[in-house]
Amino acid sequence: MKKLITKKDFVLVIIVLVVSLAGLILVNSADKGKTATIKVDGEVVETLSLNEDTLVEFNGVVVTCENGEIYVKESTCTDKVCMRSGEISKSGEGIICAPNRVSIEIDGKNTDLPDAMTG
Amino acid sequence: MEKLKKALPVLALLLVVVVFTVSLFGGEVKTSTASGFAMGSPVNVTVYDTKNGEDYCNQAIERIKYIDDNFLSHTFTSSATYKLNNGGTVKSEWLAEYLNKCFDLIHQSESNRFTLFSGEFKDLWKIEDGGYIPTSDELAKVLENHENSLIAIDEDNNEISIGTGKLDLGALGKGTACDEALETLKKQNVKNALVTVGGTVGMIGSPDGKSDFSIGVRNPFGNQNDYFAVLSITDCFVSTSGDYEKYFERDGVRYSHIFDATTGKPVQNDISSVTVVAENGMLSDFLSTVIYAEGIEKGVKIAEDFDASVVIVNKDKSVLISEELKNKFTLKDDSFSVSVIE
Repeated sequence: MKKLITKKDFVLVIIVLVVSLAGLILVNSADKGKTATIKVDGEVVETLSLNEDTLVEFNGVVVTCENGEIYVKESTCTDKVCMRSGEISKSGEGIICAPNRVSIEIDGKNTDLPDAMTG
Repeated sequence: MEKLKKALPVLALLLVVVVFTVSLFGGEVKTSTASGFAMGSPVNVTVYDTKNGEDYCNQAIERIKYIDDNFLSHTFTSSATYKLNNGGTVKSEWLAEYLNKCFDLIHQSESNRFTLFSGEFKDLWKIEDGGYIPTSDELAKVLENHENSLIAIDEDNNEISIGTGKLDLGALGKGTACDEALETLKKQNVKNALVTVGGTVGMIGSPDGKSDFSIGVRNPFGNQNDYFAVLSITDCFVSTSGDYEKYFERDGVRYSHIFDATTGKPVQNDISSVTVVAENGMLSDFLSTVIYAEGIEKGVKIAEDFDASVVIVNKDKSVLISEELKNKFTLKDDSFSVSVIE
């Protein structure tokens, strides 16, 4: 009786499996370059690439990107909480300027970070 | 024909492989999120594993904005709070009920330091505007106004009017917003959701069908992204009050945005932040502020009276946590020392 699956078929399947898995892993891990999303009133106004040194201003908040890090350089708010927040660069990290209703967040999921923050 | 027959099992196997790989990489629980801005804070709503999740998230945010615009905001001229503070009267069943709930909470807590009328204190001390130390005359005047801040609610027609104080519902607003948002989601049969309004968080169900939510507790001595501990909790609300965000400093003294109604001055004690876990957001918000204002001894008693759990961080980095949180609390920063409240 003829075998349903020959040795050659089996090898073919393994090859297809390995190639497709490798492809998927490659696609998933490819460094697309980190980005940050800036929102005003919860609406997206800008997406920055962390690879580019830039300066943008929205609602009196001056956002600077330097050497892969983002920080608020200047703000018209009185509490300056946003300026005290320092530099952010990891996925999920953010800076908020509540008085000026501006938020900045590094895109991407970071499973190390909690689901939310209180405080 | 013979070739096709031979190829069939191979094709079948390939199909299995494809289905397996897709389920491995694409089988993540679908989440929907929406964000906005209300109560002077960023608002985020996340719904897990629900069809039309995005619609529901937006409905929740709309509800929060509605409450802020129409009732709680003290800056929007359209809001009831603004109208009351500027000599007007307001007729609203929602607000009448809400204010009565507020007064019940204050009464039950037996706190005389907490007030809904901190508006004039905030203005006088210019907390959000660089800071100012008032003279004793200025303080006396504002305290007198506060004494007469009586509120009248007509039970028959829900007409509300206030005396000379200035209403500021900010202390409870974020929690109320979380309550309203989760109510909106529950009406749509949403079972798993997370709502944040500033530092107040409300949650139901689970982010992945298995575990609780992980909520980072802000390090009061660090920046916006620093948390010193993580709480693993669900089906509850959590709020934090502290002296590290809205404050000003003069001669080495920190003046925060939470006032002691008995003195008209910013609260001064050993506490840096109070985090409260409670059954609703209005309560967790209320308790975090009251406990911060009353100090540790009375504060811990109030938390017990309301069946709420606390994480209290002192200025010397010692941390007190409620017994109920013992197994839900994970310290992430060894420079803090934790003890459980007996």
